[in-house]
Amino acid sequence: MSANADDEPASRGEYLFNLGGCASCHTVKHGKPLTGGLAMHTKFGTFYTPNITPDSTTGIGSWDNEDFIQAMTDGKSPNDQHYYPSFPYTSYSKMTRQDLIELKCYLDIQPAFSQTNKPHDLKFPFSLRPLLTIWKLLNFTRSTHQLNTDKSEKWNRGAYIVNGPGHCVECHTPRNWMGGLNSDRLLAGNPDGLEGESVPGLTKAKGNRISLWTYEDIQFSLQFGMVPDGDFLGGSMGHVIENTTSKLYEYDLQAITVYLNDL
Amino acid sequence: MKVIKNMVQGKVDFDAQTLADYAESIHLASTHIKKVFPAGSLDGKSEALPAIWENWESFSKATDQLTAESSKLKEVAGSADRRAIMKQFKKVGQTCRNCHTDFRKKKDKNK
Repeated sequence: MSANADDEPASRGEYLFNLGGCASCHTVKHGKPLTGGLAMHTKFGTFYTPNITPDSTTGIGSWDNEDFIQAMTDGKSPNDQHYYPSFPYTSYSKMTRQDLIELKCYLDIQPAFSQTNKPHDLKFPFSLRPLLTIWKLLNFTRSTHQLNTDKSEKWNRGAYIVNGPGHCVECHTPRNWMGGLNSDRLLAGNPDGLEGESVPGLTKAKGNRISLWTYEDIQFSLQFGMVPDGDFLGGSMGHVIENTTSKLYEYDLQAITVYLNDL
Repeated sequence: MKVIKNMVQGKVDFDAQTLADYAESIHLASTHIKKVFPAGSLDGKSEALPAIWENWESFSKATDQLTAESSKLKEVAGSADRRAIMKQFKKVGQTCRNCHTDFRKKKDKNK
């Protein structure tokens, strides 16, 4: 087997890494790549993102594939501790096993840095981690992405990206009082988003500005950050454009657009 | 930026002079940015984040970047080289986006 063939899963993994926007939360400005430490301010308190470099003590270097898949699809650490849904495993759970393994291949070859995770600083009772068992029962269904055979291949690819690795739904969907996604109002926008941002809806509903955009407008804004009136998307979407949507294949941008256009 | 975008996308006819004029106005405006953000102007409807004044040095550097990149856009506009213009247009856009990511918070989701 050639060395190139060995590299392949990792390069597909790199694409998935961009698609998943991992760097947007796990790499902070002026910090070492993927060592985490980003503060996410929410009404439940402050979450800090963890180190996902292959460092074996402070990072995820000691994890095997099954540990990684459990974390990504079941929101559980290797010692079966629940993760808070600030980590969007609720979306990553839709990813295929092959995509997850390739993503891990890429993470495995990133530089390891030792940096101990900062514990979350949460309000009572959200600080009680075991309560997440109940949260999961009410707000999380572990299931891989279901193909919709009535729709095109492109539409299905878009649905996979938006609801799975791209985890667009996490910010663009309103949440209930305990922070669960309101699945009846998928992608309807969240006026009460992270860091006090008002996150726009992505459906064709009247009032969502995207409903007035052409197919080309949507694609251009994802690729480049510029909206039809010449203004620029910024805030947290600025990071998404920088780390994710500006790096996607044309086909995937089209797929996202096809799916969004059909909402 | 909107007119330039339409031009590079081929939605309106390409005209080097118009493009250069617009690049010039972006360039001029960029040199005023620092003056229109006096310290403490957070009142009212401003979408500016305190980060501007907390990290004045990087904010100031970012505006200088826009000044430099828009000036280059003005230069390439005259060349009528569509690829070079598109490339430079993207660079200008990136400087716009950088600032809007770090220093601006949207108050109304639909504006």
